[in-house]
Parts: sequence; C-alpha cells; structure tokens
Amino acid sequence: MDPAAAVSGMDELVEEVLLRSPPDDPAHLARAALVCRRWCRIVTGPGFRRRFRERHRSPPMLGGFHRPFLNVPDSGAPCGFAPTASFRPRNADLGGRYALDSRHGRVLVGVLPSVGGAPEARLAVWDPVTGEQLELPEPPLEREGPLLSWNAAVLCASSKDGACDHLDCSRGQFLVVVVVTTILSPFAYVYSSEDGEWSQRACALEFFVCFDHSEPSVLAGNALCFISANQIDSGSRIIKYDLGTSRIYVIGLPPRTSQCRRSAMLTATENGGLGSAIVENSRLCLWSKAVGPDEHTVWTQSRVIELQKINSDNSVLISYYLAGFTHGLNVLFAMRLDGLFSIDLKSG
Amino acid sequence: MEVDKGKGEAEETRKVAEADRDTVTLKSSDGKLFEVSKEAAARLSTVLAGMIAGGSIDDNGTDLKQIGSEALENVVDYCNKHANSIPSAALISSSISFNTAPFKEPEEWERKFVDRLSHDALFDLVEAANFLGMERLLDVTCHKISEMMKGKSPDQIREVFNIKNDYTKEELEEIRQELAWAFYDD
Repeated sequence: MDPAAAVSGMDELVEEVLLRSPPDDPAHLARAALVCRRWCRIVTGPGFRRRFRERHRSPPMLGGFHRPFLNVPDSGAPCGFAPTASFRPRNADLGGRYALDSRHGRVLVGVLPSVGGAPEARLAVWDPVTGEQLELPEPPLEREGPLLSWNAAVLCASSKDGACDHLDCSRGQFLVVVVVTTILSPFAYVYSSEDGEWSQRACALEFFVCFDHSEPSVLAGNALCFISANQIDSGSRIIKYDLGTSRIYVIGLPPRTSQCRRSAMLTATENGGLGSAIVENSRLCLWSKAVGPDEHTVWTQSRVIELQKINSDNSVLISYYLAGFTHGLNVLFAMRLDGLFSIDLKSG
Repeated sequence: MEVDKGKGEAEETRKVAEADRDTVTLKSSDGKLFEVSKEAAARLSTVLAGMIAGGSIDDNGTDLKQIGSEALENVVDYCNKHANSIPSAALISSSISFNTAPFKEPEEWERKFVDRLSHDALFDLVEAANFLGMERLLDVTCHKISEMMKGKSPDQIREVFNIKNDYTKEELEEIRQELAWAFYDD
C-alpha cells in the first residue's frame, strides 16, 4: 500500500498531522476540510478542536483594529481592520461605528466619544468570525450630567472568577464595562449578556480624571485597568474596576525615572498581573505592580530595553510612541515617525 | 544441593549480563536486525520502554512485524542521533516561557533528519513512530507533513496523500462559502 495513503487512511494520524497546522493561517485548516468528507469530519469534530486549542494555547494574531483620528472619520477601512493573516472579518459593516475594544474573540463597537457631545454610545458586540452583531441598550449615562470622558471594554463573563481559559468562549456569556468620568468622579456601569441589562453604577471620589479613549483597557487578574489621558502630567492615574467586588480603585502610575516621559501604556505581565510600559527618551521601561492593597501601590521596574539597540536600521531616533499591546502574545507596538513596529517582550 | 546452587548463580549472572547490555536488538518485518541504545529506546518510545521493563526484549532480535527495514533503520538512526544531541538553548528557554505550547519546534538536526527522507520514507516513519509510541518523532514527522501542505490547494493536498475527492461540486461550493472568512487570499 502507498505509505501516504496508509497514513491518510488512519484518522488518528490525519489528526496528528492537522494538529500541527499553523494557527495564524486559518486557510490551512480550511483547505484540509475541503480535501474529502472524512477530513472535514475530523477537523470539525469537537475532539480535534479541543486538542488544537490545547496545543496552540496562545490565540493567534489575525490582525488589528485601528481607529481614525477624531474628526477625520473617513480615514482607513470602514471597520478599521488591518489583517496580518488570511482571515477577513465577516459582516464588517459597523454602521459608521468603530472598534472600541476587543477581547476573548469579541469586538466592542460604538461611536467614538466626543467631549461635550451627546452621551450616546450605540454599543454593539460583534463576533468577527461568525459575523454576529448584538446591539446593546444605551448605558444610562445621561443621568450623570456633563461627561469629561469615557472608555469601554468587552470580556468573557467568566473573567470575574477566572473559571475560563478563554480558548473557546467567544459564543458564551459576556460583560461590557463602561467607565465614565465627570468633574467629580469616575464611575462604571456593567452590562451582562446573561441579565440583558446594565447594572447599578460603581464610583470612586477622584477629581478631574480624564480617559484617553484611544487606549484600550488591560485585564489583569479579575480587574480591568484603564489609563487616564494626560500621560505626561505627573497626575496620570489608572482606574481599576474590580470585577469581583464591583468597585473602582484609583492607583498611580510608576514613578518617573527621567525628566522626559513620552508615552505610557498598561500591559499584562507574564503571570497575569498589571504592568506598564513607559518610553523615556530612547528607553522602554517595563514595570510590574506588586500584588497588595491598591492604596499603597508598589511598582517594580522589571526590565529596561534600549530601543536604539533593537532598531536594526540604525536610523536616527526621533520619537517613539507606544501604540498597542496584545494580550496573551506579549507583543508591544511602538510608533515611530516612519512607521509602526512590534517588540516581542518575550525575546526583547 | 551444591550443584543446584551453582546453576542458580549462573542463571543469575546471565540475567545480570543481559540487564547490563546497553543496547537492544530490533528485527524488522523483513528480518533485518538493528541495534539501538537501550536508554534512548526506553526514553523515546513508550512501547519499547514497556517491553524493556516487562522483560519481553529478545536478545536475538525483538520482532517488530509492522515495521519495514527502511523505516526501522530511520527509527534507530533517530534514536541514536537523539541520544547524542544536546538540548539547544532555544529548547531550554521555550520550556520556561509563559504560555508554552506543549509542542516544541523541531531542532535543527531534527529538521535535517526529516528533510532528507523521501516522500514514502517520511510517511512510513510516521506510521512506525505511531506504532512505537514515539511522541517526539511523531511530532517532528507530522510537523514536516504539515509544512508540506502549506499553501497547497485541496487538489494538491489530495495528490500528496493519494486521496479521492468524494465531494460533489455543490458541496464544495457550500463549504467554501461557509469558510469564506478564512480564504481571502485564495
């Protein structure tokens, strides 16, 4: 018997081969499903799907969402998706809205917040693989009076108790957290897909906190952390919404070590804690927050990366700005005047 | 009594000598004999480890009726090479990094090892690795086959595996549409 036919005749060996398919190339497995009925049955079976996820634990990066500058709504693709693989999102017409956040296989879309504008968010949760879009009721923001800023996040409902590994939860229950600030305080509302409604609000007393809506939140442990807008200001703060206690905490950023802080971004550390990446001059400083009471935040500098050194083209350093962080992959994106590049924090 | 005791001792000595041998002899389906390091065989193959522990290794050649001589030669070659290889820095660092997938990329020598195999020998080796419970060798060979499928159309994959297309045209079109999100570049 032909050796290749002998192997392809055994389900378990076909499965072994297909388990090694690169997860960041979805077309690879899709073509395998088109080979014959048996192969299709194998790759769509629950056993294979479970083993595939267990094997490739870090979810692959299929692309990124970007948003236009305020007041320039027509720049870029309609949904702002920049693919890095053969994947293309389904049902990508977002009705003039933009991706505000994405996590655990879902994308939160809405109207970009504008200062002094009507507090209308038009939020929806979109699954870019199935194309499903679920419109959410408006969060009850009008009762808060004039808003300074707001930001929002979507996440798997089991993030509360850490009961989910988030490898296959994109069709399960989800939460949407909206954090808003007025002059007097930041506060938060939570939408639960299970209840189908917005919860009571949580708030903390802290004056003049203003979110940068272009900075997505970071999920560290069971808390969502948002960075406040003015990053150069020594008064920059982190608003932490604890999903377990439903309370808001305000914590400080790491102390500045140099006079020139250009850009700061929240990250998740390798053990799931809160971290931050800060560009000071030409150095990228990585910090991690010690576990402990939030009133006494202790930051430890874990690493310093000389950006000039990892820059292969030896170009004159002009300016770096941190542009994004991917959960699970531990990759930072930094913007330079001449383009965007990525820094793999695992390798440095 | 004395004689019996002596005989017992001799038996004992022979057994010890057998246990002390640091190789085992394997016999392919076509009767060829191969020697392989006992330590490597036990470490790399769950089936051979079980046979060694259970004492079912035959000094004159343990019969492996399902494996031809070419595949068995490759298995033995792999075991010997593995025994001599020092784990690379990449392997060590990836084993302590966060979120490590259970699979570790093939090492340079493993890549070279499977790259030089013919099409038929590669598939034969997959079967042999599977039969002998050699997880790492199965990993490396299946990884190679997966790489061979990269960028190939369903038609080309069928050719590689010698598979008949049992779909109707309509069925193919239906699945293609359902999977359109994955196929932008095709």
